[in-house]
Amino acid sequence: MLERGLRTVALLGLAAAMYLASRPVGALDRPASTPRWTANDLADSTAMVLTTALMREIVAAGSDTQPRRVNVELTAVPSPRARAALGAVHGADVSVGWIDRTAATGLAVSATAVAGPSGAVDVRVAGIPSSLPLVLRDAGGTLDSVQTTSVTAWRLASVSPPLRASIGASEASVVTRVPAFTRRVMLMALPGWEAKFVAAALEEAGWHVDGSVRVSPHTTVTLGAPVRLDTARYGVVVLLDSMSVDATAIRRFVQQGGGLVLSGDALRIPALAPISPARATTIRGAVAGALLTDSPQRGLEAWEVVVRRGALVVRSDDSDHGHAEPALVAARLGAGRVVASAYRNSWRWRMEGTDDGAAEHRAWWGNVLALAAGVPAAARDSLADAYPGNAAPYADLVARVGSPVSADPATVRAASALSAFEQLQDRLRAAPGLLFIVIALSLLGEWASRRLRGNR
Amino acid sequence: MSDSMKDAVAVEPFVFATAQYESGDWDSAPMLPANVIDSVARYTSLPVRPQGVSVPLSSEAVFAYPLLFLTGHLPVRFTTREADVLRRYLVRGGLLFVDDHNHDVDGAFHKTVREEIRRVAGPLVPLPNTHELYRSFFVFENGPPTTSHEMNGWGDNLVHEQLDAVLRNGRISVLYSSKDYSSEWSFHPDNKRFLSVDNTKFAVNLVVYALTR
Repeated sequence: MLERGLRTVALLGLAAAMYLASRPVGALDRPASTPRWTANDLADSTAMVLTTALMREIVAAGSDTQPRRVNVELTAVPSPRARAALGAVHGADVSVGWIDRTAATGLAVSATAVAGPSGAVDVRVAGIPSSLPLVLRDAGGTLDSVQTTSVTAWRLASVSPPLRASIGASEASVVTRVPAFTRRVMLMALPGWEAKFVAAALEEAGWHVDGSVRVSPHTTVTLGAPVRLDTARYGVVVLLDSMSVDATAIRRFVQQGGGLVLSGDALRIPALAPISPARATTIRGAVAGALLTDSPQRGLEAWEVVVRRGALVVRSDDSDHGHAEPALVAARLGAGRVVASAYRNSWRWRMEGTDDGAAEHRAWWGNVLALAAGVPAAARDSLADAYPGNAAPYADLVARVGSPVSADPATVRAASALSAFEQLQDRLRAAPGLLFIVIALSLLGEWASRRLRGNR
Repeated sequence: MSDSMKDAVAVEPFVFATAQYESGDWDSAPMLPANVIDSVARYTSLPVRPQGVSVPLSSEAVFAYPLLFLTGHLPVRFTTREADVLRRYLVRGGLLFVDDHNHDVDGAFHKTVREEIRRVAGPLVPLPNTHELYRSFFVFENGPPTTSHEMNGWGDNLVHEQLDAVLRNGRISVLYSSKDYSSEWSFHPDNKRFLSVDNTKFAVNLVVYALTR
């Protein structure tokens, strides 16, 4: 009986050795570690961070081979790059399990251009009804905020891509077609260095500048070839000084889809106060020497402003009082936008700043006008912005790496743990002589037993 | 309205700035700034500071004055620091107006300062007499107005038909004159009443051009 048992053990050991020898090397040479990534590893939401974290886990496993399983706890839906990297890992014989701590729900947005010359866009948002409001916004600011239903729809006259929908922690975005616009700007200003250098910066940024500057009661200097103000001819009106203007025409221009920039002292034009997104109160002095620092805007005088209801603060500056001072504020008016820039005498940024000041001043004004015109200021990140999966990021994550595992500790342990058979394989792989010893001892035991009872 | 707000809505006044350089005689036309300032105030509604300033070309203080006047009789050699500051000044959009006080194309100032300008900003080229500079305020159909000093027996005794310039992005970066406006405009402003035609009108064009283009 004993001899049969020992022989069986020897045969089983031999069979196990043959089985392990028949398995592909890659499938066997996997470390038993189960690395766990937290949301901090994905905080930067870049594939580089993810790859770095993966390599770190491989090195920690003491092998140059890939880990068997990766568990990730996510507190936010990863970026497109991070999702793509997770999907790639998942497809490379690594099981990816993720624990959903995002507080996000499935949310999807779609935008379809309406056939015809209007440029209108049909927008639909699908999501799980929630007590939180559904907020729709584009590059120009918030478009609408409503209580959620299962499907919500809008027809928008114009959209500045990207279009974003959000409910609480859930966000989805889609890139729409850039609306046709004219890179022609009407500059209204008093003669001075600000008008000169703003016109120069805009021309260098690719805008065609028209305008007229009154230099005496009977003499006006003309820039470009100004014509009647309407949205067919101009994309944006820029006002730089407190001066007399045709407020009715400007208001009509904006309501019909044009952009308006009120910069510096133009925030003090009484006739335009009703449509200004911010009200100027007092002057914030320039910080001496700041033009030569990394925060050159602090070296400019600026108006302290009170932001009107519904306006969006696009940029703020840190103040010496410990709070942020709005520097760039935007609001919608009809089909157009009004942008308020608090800085005065921005030309000093260009002339008295660092050697990069001219380029920074040009970029600033290019961005301000793009904001007013509702167009991208620069080429977008094609993957980050235009990636189709952004229309429903949560669904995209599930499609790439599967449904989240339960956050229940027992389930997580189960998901993290290897099966008993896999553990046995790993132990045998870790100690390749163990099988030989078991087989040898079994055969030796059988032989000894037979000798002791006199058989050959 | 608080005092700060009253000040805030006031447009910065134009300040006429003269460049100081280490070689030569940068202050050879001491009456010129006051006369130009008087003309700007007389003919335009531009806010202008009553006194001009003199700014060392080696100082980054010149960046606060986007129009800079430079004149002299003697040879000009910019120091390394002056050349560096001037190069950056022009790249950022400043306008340098240089006038040959000798009105002599064989003179030391003319030869040396043009060489310095070429080294710092590039070669000077003739500015067409149809340029907008000649229409920015007063209209000068025939280009730069002739000065009484061009044929006074001094210098090259030539009437220079054009000004020269270095252009950058379609704008005048350096304007060079052999017409000796330094002599023509260097008199007390009160004496304009004795002139049948004010000979400083072109200075108004220059200032208006600098402020608007």
